[in-house]
Amino acid sequence: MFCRFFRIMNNRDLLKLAENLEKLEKLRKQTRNTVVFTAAFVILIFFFIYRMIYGNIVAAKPIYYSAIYICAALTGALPLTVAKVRRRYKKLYNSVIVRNSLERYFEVEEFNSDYGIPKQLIDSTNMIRTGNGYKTDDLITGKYKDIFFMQSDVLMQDRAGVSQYFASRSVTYFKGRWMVFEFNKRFKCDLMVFEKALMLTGKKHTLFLKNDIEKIEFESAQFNSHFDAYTNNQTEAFYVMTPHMMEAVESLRESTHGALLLCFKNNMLHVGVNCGKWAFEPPIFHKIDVASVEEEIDSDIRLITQFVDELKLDEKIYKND
Amino acid sequence: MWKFVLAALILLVVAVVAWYIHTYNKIKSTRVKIDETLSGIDIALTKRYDMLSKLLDITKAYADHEKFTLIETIRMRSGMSAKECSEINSKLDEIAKSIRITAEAYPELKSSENFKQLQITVADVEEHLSAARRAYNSNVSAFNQMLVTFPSNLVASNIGAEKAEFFEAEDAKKNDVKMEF
Repeated sequence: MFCRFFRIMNNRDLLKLAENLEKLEKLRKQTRNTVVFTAAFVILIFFFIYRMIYGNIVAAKPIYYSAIYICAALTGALPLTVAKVRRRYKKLYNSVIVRNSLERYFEVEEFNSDYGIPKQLIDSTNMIRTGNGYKTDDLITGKYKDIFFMQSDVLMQDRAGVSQYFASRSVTYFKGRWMVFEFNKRFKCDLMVFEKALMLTGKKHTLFLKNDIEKIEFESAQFNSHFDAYTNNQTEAFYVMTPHMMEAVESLRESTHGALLLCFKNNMLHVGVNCGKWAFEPPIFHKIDVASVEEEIDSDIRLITQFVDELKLDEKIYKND
Repeated sequence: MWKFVLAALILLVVAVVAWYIHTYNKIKSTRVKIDETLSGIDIALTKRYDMLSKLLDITKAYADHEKFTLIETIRMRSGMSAKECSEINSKLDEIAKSIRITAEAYPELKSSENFKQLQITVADVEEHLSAARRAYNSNVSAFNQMLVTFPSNLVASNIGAEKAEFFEAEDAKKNDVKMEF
């Protein structure tokens, strides 16, 4: 009835699951209604303010100024309400549906929708500007094939404006998924690999002002045509980026939607996928169909497993533990 | 009018001098990189030699293979040329091969913990050597390209730069190092 990850369940569990799904559906409707109501309200408010100002109503009766202020305050408070309802819905969705799927693939250590990868960790890679509007959630830490990993949704942007909810101007540097994997070799260099598609948008970090970082080219002309690589130790960079690795990164580039960033640092591999969307997002405007939702979650999970499998991170033949 | 011509000429001379300095520096810095990566090969070769010597000490207790005496003929020294490095590497390849053959014939040797650990280290050292070789050859390739392409070849011939030699690896070693345990 409830697809493959709910199969090995007894009647009590199934009953609980059905209950949870019912609760989830209720929350989804509540979230949808709040979003629709908010959108409609904001449009109305703007129309109202427009009429007041350009219809000379305010000029006629200055008392209407206070009405405008109240409306503006309400418009400001509404997104907070939407965020609150949405957070509650997402939390339940993650615990009822996503966690089950994750546990089928990984040894999950932590799965929390409230926070994600710390800004400092991404800053330490010196790869990309994290901006003043850094946002992250859905932190997953765990092991796949005995390889430690963490991943979360990340938004990096510079915002100029009133608050974190309102920005008059914003420049988005990155929106997508950030993953960190334990690497199967010990190396003494920093190696950054950027897909050229991302470089073209001019989002480079101050890394490029550092003297010890130099651009390098590998033997593969095809790899060099798709990626730019920078390192502070050429020989070690070649140790990390073997011909097999280059082929694997190439094939990952083809199968991944969004520009890739790879940073090899402190015996860890950071992977950024600038795909413009976040993973494990619950549906809001259509009914939760467990089968299709499961398929979507599986495809989000496959992005993590793909990196371990393609790069053969589980082959630790060069590491004496 | 003659002022404009003079200004254009001065600009042209400045541009040519700037380009000459830039190309000269590029050729020199690539040469330095070649030397650096060659010393990287040196280091990796010495490590490989040391590790294989240790492996040989263990293996000799099981079999006295005639190829094992080959290691005594190897004279490691610093500042070797790419050709010398390549020759020593070929000898080390032969020793590594004979160790593997011996390990196949003596399962107790293959399963010994000490042997296994050393083999992992050797594999890692070989991977480092392979990386150093690839980095060296990549620099040599960039350097040699500057020597034959126009207009950088004008600067190169002016300063008497000569083509650098590649580090040739045996066909079998050209692929990624793959050790089976």
